[in-house]
Amino acid sequence: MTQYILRRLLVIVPVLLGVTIVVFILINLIPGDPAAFYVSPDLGSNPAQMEIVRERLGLNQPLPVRYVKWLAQTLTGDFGYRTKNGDPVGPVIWLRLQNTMLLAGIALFIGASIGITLGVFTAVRQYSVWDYALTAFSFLGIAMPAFVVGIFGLYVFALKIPLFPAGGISTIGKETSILDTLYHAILPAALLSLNYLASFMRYTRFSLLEVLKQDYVSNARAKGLRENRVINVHALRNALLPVITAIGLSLPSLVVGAVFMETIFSWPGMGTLYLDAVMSRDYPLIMGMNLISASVILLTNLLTDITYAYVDPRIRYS
Amino acid sequence: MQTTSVTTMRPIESPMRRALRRFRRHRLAMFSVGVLLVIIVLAVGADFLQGYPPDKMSLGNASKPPSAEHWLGTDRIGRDMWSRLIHGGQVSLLIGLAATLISLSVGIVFGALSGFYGGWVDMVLQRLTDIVMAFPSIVLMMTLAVFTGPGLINVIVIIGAVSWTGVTRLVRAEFLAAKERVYVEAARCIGVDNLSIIFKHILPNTLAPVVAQAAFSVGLAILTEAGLSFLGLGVPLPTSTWGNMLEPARELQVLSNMPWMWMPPALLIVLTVLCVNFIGDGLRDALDPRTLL
Repeated sequence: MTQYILRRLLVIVPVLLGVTIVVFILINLIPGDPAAFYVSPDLGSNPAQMEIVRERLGLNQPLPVRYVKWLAQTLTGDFGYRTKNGDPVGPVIWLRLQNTMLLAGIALFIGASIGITLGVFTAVRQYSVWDYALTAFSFLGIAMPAFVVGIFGLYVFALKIPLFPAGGISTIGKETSILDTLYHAILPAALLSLNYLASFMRYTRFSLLEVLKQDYVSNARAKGLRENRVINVHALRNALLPVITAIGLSLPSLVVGAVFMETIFSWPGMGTLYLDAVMSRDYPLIMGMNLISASVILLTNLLTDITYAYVDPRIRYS
Repeated sequence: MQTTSVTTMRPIESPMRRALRRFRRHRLAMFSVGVLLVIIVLAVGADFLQGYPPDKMSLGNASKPPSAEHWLGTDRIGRDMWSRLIHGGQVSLLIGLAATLISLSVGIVFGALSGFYGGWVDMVLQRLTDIVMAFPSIVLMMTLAVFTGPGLINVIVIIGAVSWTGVTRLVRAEFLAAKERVYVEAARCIGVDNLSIIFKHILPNTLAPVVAQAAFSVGLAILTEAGLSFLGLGVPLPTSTWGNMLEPARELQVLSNMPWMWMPPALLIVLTVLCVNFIGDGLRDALDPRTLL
C-alpha cells in the first residue's frame, strides 16, 4: 500500500510540473509589458527608467531562467503580491479557500448523504411510482447548471419566501458566529448540492441494482436474513465502491459550481476572488489560484484512489 | 436451394438502419428530438418570427412586463425579450455545435494517435491530458478568456480547447482494444499505411460511443457558454445569447422584480440540455448492441 501511494505521488510530480509550466507560459503570452505597471505614465516614463524597473524585477532575464526562479519561490509558499492592492497572494487564497471548503464541504455532505439514501430507496422500489418520480427529478437535477439552480433558489427561498439571507457570509453589524455563518451557508450549499445529489442517487441506484443480482445476495436471503440487513449490510457495502469514485471525481465540477454559487450569493470564496482576479487582470493572483486549484484536484484524485484501494480488498496494487 | 432459403430470411439490416430502428423505440429520446426541432426552427427562423429586431432599443418601453406587443416583455433598455431569446438561441446552439466540433476533432486525433502508437506518443499525449484535466474547467477557461478577450469565436475556441480530454480517453481506450483485432492485422498484411488504418479502418469501428459522447458534449458546451457569459466573460453585447441574457439576474432588483427578464432563457437552457442529454442516452442505447430495446 505504501509503495502504491509513493508510486502515485511520483506520477503526480511531472503533471504538477506541467501545470506550473502551462500557467507560467499562459501568463507570459498575455500581451503587455508588466514593467509598465510599475512606472507611472503621469511622470513621463522614459526607456531608461523602464529598463531600470525591468532589471530590478528580473524581467530582462530569459524566460527559462525566470521560470526556474519563479518556481523556486513558489515552492517556498511565496506566491508574490496582488497587483491590485499589494496583499500577499498566499494568505489571501488561504482565507478564501477555507470559505469555499466550508460551502463545498456542506454541499458534498448533503449531496452524498441524501443522494445515497435516495439511491437505495429507489433501487429497492425499482419500477415503482417513487422510482420514476425520483429518476425524473435526477435527470432534471443533472441538466440544471449551478447558475440556473442558484438564481432560481435565490429568487424562491431568499426573495419571495425570505427564509434565508440573500447573500454574504455574515449578518452586517452582528458579531461573527459559527451559527450565523452556517445560516448564510446553508442555502447556497444546498443549491450547490442538487447536482451531486442527483448524480450520486443515480450511481447508487444503478450500482445497488447490479449488486442485488449477485449470488451472495440470494445466499444472504436464503439464510433467512431480514431484507433490511441484506440490503444495508451485505449489498450496500459493495454497491458503494463505484460511488466513492464518483464522489472523488465530482470535485473539479464542484469547484466550477462553487464559482457560480459564490458569485450569485456574494460568498467570499475562491470563486468570487477568481472572478475579481480575472476582471482586474491581477496576474500574480491568477497564477497562484490556478496552481492551488490544480494541486488540490490532483491531491483529491490521489486520495480517491487510495480510499478506493483501502475499502476494496479485491484491489491489490503491486 | 440456397436462393429459396435466402428469400425467406429477413433482409440483412445495415448497422445504420438497425441503430435508427432502435433509436426510434426510445420514446424519451424521440420526444426530445421533437422538442429540440421546435427550438432549432425558432432559432433558425428567428428573423421571420419576431416583430422587433433583437437589438432595437426603445427607452420609453424599458423594463415592461409581458404584454400583447412584447410577448415576453422588454429588457432594461427596451429591447424585445422574445426577439432576443430566439436570436440568442441561434448563437447558443451555434456555439454548442462549433465547440463540440473542435473538442471532438482534437479528442479523436489525440486519442487515436495515443491508442494506436502507444510508447512515447501515448506518454506525451496522456500527460498533456492529465495536465488539462488537473485544472477545474471553468478556471482554465476564465484564464484563457483574459488572454483572448471577449468575442464569439474566442468563446468557441476556448470551450473547444478545454473540453477534449474526455473524448481523448474514450477514443484511446477504443483504439487500444481495436488495434489487436484481426481486421487490423489483415489491413497491415495487404500493406495499408498506418494513417489509413487509423482513420479508415479503426476509427469507423469506434465511433458508436463517440457519437453518444458528442451529444453530451453539445449540451455541456451550451452550458459552458451560458456560464461564461453569465459571469460576463463570454459573448459580449449586443449579440444576445441565453447566457448573457441571464447576466442581469445577478442584480437583486432584476432578479426579484423582473422575472420575465431571466426566467425564459434559464428555462430554455435547461430544456435544451435536458433534450440533448436524452438524445445522447438514446443514441448510446441504440448503438450499443448489448442493450435490449
